[in-house]
Amino acid sequence: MKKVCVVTMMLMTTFSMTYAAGLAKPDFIHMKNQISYFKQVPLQKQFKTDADCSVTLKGTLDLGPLEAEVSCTTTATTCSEATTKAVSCLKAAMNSVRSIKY
Amino acid sequence: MKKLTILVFIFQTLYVSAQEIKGTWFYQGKFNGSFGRTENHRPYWGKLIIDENRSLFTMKEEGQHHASLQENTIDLRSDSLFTVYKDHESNSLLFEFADLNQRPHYFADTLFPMEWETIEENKMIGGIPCLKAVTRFKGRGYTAWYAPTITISDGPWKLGGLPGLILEAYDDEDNWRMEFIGRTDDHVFDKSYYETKIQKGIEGYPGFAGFVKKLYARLEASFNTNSDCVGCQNKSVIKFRSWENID
Repeated sequence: MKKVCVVTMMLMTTFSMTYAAGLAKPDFIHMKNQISYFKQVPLQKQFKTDADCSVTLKGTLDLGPLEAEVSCTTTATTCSEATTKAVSCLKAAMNSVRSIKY
Repeated sequence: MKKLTILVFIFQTLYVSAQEIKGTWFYQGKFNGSFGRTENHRPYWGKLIIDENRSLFTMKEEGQHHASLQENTIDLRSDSLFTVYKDHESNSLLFEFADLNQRPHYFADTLFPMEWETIEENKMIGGIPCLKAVTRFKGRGYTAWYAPTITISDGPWKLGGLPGLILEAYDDEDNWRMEFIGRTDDHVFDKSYYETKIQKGIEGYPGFAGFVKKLYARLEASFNTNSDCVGCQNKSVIKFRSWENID
């Protein structure tokens, strides 16, 4: 009898859990809306920081009928930082040309 | 009266011929160092000195020009661009290329290999009647206005081979342009300088292409070994462009 009670209890528990799971079925439409919402929110508002900023600077070596163009693209959390890095990159590139020349 | 007319005609013909053989033809124009990607036009003077079968063309920037570093541009243009020496007698053409140290190097090229297509159009340039012709040369399309009355088969830069001197020439994108503005009788230039180089033997256009490719490789290696940006989140790209096809 005890065994029957235990088995009945287990079956009841399984049924309750399955039923509860059925009731708690996720609302996909609602979730989709939430994803759209998050996509629309700017990242910096969510994390209170600037979004990544990409800066490209170009430099030219003019030889008349020949030309070499170097472009430095840098990415940083702020545009100011990215610009500083791009300037540094371009400066280094230009210096390397000058080192060839002199 | 008829005799007089013939005499005047002969005199005029002789005068024109004498005028044509020797002299300096001056041109004014422009060159876009960015080859059309941006507006980087600079004004240039062109000078074509002709002494019988030999000629020298040079192109210098108007005003003073100094090699310099201006903002993001390292200007290493030599004093003269598009310098070309032609010797019709030996059917040779020699052109100058200045390297990063602005040291001149000379290479040979074919004299007037371009095939011209004459167009039924004419106009006056400096009071001289000119005819139109077009061609493609080393990857670019060119238009030339030549004067059949000046029977010199020559012109600015490497252009020539038409039955008359080219008084105006430009490429299809108008990045390079030379227009005749005047002429003097002066025809002195150091021919022996160029003749010596031809006699010593110089490399042809494939040699020039190889030289330029080596220069590119050197620059590329220099950029790649540039260590100032290690740790920077960056991407450096180097692109090379040339006025004439070097492939």
